[in-house]
Amino acid sequence: MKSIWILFFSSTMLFSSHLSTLYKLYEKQEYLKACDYGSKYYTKNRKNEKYLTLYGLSCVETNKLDRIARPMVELKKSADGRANASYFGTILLQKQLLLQALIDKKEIYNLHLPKTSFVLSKVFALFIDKKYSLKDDIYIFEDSAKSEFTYKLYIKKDSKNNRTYMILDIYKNDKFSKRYQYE
Amino acid sequence: MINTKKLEKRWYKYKSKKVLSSLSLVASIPILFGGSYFLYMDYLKRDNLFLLSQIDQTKITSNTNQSILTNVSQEKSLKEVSKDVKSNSSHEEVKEELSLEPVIPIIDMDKEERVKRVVRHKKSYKKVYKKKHYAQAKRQVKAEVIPQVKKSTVQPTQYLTKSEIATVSREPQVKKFKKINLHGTSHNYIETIHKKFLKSNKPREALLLAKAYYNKGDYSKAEAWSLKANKLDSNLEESWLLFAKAKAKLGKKQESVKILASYYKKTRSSKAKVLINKVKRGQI
Amino acid sequence: MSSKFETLKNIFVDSVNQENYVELDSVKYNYDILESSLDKPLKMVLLFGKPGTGKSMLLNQLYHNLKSKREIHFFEAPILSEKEFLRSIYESISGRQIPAKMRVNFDGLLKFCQKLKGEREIVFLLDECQLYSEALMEKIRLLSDTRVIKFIITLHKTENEDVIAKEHFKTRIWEVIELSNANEYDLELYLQKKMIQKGFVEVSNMISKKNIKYIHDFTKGNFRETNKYLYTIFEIYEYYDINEPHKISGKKFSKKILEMAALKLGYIND
Repeated sequence: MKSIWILFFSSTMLFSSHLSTLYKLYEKQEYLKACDYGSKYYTKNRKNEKYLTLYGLSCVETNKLDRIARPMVELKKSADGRANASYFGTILLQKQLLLQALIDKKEIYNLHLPKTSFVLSKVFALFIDKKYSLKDDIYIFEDSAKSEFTYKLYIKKDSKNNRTYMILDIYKNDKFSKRYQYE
Repeated sequence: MINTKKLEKRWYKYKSKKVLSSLSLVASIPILFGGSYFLYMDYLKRDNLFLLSQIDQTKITSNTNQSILTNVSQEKSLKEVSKDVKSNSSHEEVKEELSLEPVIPIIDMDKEERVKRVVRHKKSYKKVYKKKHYAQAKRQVKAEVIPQVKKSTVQPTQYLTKSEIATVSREPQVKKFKKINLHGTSHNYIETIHKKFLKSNKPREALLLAKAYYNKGDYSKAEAWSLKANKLDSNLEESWLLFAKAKAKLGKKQESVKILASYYKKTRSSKAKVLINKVKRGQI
Repeated sequence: MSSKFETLKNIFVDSVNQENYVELDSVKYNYDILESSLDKPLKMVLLFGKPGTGKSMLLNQLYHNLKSKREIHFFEAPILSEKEFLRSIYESISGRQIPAKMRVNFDGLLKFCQKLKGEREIVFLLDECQLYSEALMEKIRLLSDTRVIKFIITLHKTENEDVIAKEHFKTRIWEVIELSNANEYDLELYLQKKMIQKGFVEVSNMISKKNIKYIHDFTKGNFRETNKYLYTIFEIYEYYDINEPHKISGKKFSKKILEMAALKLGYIND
């Protein structure tokens, strides 16, 4: 009888913290896992700004950039939350503008958006300043601060799914390093 | 014959105990449910802990599971700093650039993985703590070491740390978080230890000095001081290792390996062995 | 004026008395086996079970039923002195008294018995045989080998005795009867019969199945324990009947008194 009570009691006490798991994944730089995990338990933790921030930061590093829209609109209670919301908003906006520029050939020069250290923002800044070389519809950028990095931005059309992707390839010392694929 | 009166009293006692225990069992069920529900709701409302993030950044992580990421506070104000303004050029436009950086939250892992008990006085304690240490925290944030990647348009200590930048740009990862050693490289510290050493002439102090110089980047001095420490106490393993490391940093790899090898022969120290391999591979 | 409960209480006084014998199905079954075993060519019959399961009662009943029909002798208490034991055996068989100073020679006794072979068959009921020494048990075995004397012995069922029983008597042609504690049904019958025997029909009707279960939980169906428990219960009842009759109702068996008795006997810890 006693053991049943102990079991019952302990089961209510054992709270697996989603936030701690998410943070661990983020720390390990398993961004895709973190992003998916965060998305899975999003509803339960939507009032936790730390959770939203980590979720957004994880998804920023993946191809599922659009997911940061949700935490962006929900981070509003604290100053840090609002700052992060602006950060996410900036990156999203920059991605959208680049999409427009590449697909619809919209002119987006003379725009002054906040800068972030995220690679997409860097590319955007370089794009705005026309610091690129265009070859076969591929925009090639060179990182002024880190000379070993080169970025390639282009559009890819998937005929099977009938989808258009904007691809951002990162090269380090002329070796392919990472790819971001945005829709 | 039995004393029935006494027995009756005993019986009343027993009965009351029985009733009490069954009542308490019955009463505890709703309490348990209520308690767990309440705990769960509190877990969802964790906004006030977020405010601690600004203060937590000043804590030095040593033994606990608490991981601290350097907090990069937001820089919102517009800065009129010219990037490419040359002294001769006239009327170049001063670019007003706004920079946004994410504020990475501080997570107290111990707390997250334990039971969250609602302690009201804890909140008030936090407020008191916050007020007390906020000023101190502010000062220490400014004294932080600035990471390498810097935009001249932005004030220092506003960027992501090395590790964060490394993650973004896919550099070799900084797996362990460095201890924020506020005293490690300040000149005051070196002077203080130097004075101490002159008084006491202890090998430990010499070794500390050597470490300080090594961290500062002054490898020749680090070499000299570690040698001194070693002369004072040849059994001090660290002095051997540091001496070898400093040598390796100065480019004298072969010498470094020789020293380590002779030390390893004597002592069979595993640390020496590891260091030998590192020096050979140039991983210092 | 003595309360009826006093009489009731005395029903449950633990004594091996033929009057107190209650016939239950399980008991009758064992009795029949025991009786029939006397006609079988067995030398020894072992009756074993925990203390309080009714071994002595059974032997007693057997003795009283058969004493007029055959040569049967009942040693209620074990005679530990070998000298005395052999003397008693001889005296029972021969019917003669031996002077106090004379000793019975075992070999002589054996020969004496062997002479009686085919003529007589004598049954000895030995109770509490766990107290007999090994040497004496051996002699008993040898006596039984003559096929003139049959022994029915009882043992307490403990770990050691079980082993001894097996070791010593494995090779003998044995009848083994095990007595166990009563189950709830038997216990109910036992209590009812005991009370009805003395005319307390209405009291026996007062006891419900729940009460029986309660009693069984504590006594585990052991007759001796049950007797003790019921005795205590009726003792308390007697007290209330004399001093505070308002505290007891005549219709149901008071659970309170059951619990009080249990407290007193240490079945419940307070």
